[in-house]
Amino acid sequence: MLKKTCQRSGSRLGSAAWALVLLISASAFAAGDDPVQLYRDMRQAVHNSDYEGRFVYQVGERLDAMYVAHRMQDGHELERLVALNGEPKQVIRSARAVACLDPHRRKISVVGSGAAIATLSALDDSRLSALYRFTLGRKVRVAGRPARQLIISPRDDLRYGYRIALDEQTRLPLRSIMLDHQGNVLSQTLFVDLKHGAHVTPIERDLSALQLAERPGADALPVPAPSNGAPADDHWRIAALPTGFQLAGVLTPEKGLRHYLFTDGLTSVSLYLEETPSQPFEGFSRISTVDVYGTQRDGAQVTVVGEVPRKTLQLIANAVVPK
Amino acid sequence: MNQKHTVDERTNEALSAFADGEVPERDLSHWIATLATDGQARARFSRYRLIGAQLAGEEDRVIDASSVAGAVSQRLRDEPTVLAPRRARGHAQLPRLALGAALAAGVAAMAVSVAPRLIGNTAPMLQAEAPSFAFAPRLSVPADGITMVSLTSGIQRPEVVRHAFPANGQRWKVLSPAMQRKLSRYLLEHNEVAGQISAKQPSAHLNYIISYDQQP
Repeated sequence: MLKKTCQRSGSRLGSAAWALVLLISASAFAAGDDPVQLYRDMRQAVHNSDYEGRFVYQVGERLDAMYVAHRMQDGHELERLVALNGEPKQVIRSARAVACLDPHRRKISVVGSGAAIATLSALDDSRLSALYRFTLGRKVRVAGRPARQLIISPRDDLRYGYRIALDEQTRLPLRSIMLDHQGNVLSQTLFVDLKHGAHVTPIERDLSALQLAERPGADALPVPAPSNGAPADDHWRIAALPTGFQLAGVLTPEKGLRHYLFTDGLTSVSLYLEETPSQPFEGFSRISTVDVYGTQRDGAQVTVVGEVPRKTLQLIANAVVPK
Repeated sequence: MNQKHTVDERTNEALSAFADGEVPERDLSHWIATLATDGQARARFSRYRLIGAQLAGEEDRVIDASSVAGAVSQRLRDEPTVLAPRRARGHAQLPRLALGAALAAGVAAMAVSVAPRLIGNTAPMLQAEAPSFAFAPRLSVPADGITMVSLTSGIQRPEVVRHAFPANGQRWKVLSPAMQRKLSRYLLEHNEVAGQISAKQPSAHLNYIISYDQQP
């Protein structure tokens, strides 16, 4: 009897131990995890996995409910982002274009897909640790799922910081908080439910409006091909950039307009250079968490856009000078 | 750049403003004439209308050329905010029926020329165009905390507008709707390419989608 009890106890202990081993091995995070690698895993998950969920997006005192569905199809990203409160706006992304639709106002904006930029040579993000301090935070629970905090703190005042709760299973950002260099919250997203993998609702049928926008027309334009450096006919050169930023690519959305993309590996800034501006302006403007800075240089309009401190926008604007 | 593309960005913005009812009175006759005579301008206008109609589930009205003129006139009478939203202050109103008739004629001509290409078109999709009709968030210029200095620097040079705006704004705080459209387009493009490099949120376009539903 005692033997059987011991055997049973041993069996229970063994099962418990095995369950513990399974639990530990099944856990996505380990003590020795490299937080920079976790960030890379998150980036990979956001771009290359299928997921769907509802989340809230807060900027200042404003709170919005959103729905997102992201799928991979033939190696290309498809995404549908829908505002669940207010006007039923949505952004639809395909391999070729991104469109923002406002059914109520019957307006649509269409631009070329940014997928082309991904074809550039891999960006050097080995310097991320020199620009940001990556640390693993405590375990948390978000949207009913276990997660681990990843804290990304800037080492200077040229960029913002992030506190992200990474889903243990999928590495998706269940919660993401953007903070300024003083620790003030600028914005945050928080999933309330999340599905992934085969459970994600197909969104291909929702792309009809975008496909219509892409139909052949007399004025259809090709998506500009990006280049790693400034085009040969460029009359401008890149002088000293703010610490950590590098040129990721140059696009020509239309004649007379250059789009320079700069990045530090984590955040990016776009500089638009319009040779003959029709609406020149100087100064700052803002939408949501994105600032824009406009200035004039040698008759051209320089407009810089990004989720970075205004000081950084000005430094990048000053970095593009005539040859 | 497509060599056939001759409608420049300024024209696009003006057409967009025209569709939004934001063209000054002095320019109205010019753009009505443009729609009536310029096939490329009509094509752009038609694309905008077609997409809008599809979103509203009314694509048949646009594609059926015989009903377009009446539909546009009717819509202008019944729902002026659809094709002729509230005008910016200072823009004079044309008699609505006259404008409606001109628009209807232009759109009817457009539909006749464009619809056959759209109906049953099975050609592969072309790559997306640059935004000929970008969003035009309604003008929002709260009085507090804003400093605006207009610098007129010569007859041939465009006016440079200086802006200094409060940091808690949710929308572009700029004067010109055309400028707002331009910045909104820049934001959409920026989000798309920046989102390819990094990912810190569920979508790169969150800031864009909340950017244009706040009223002044």
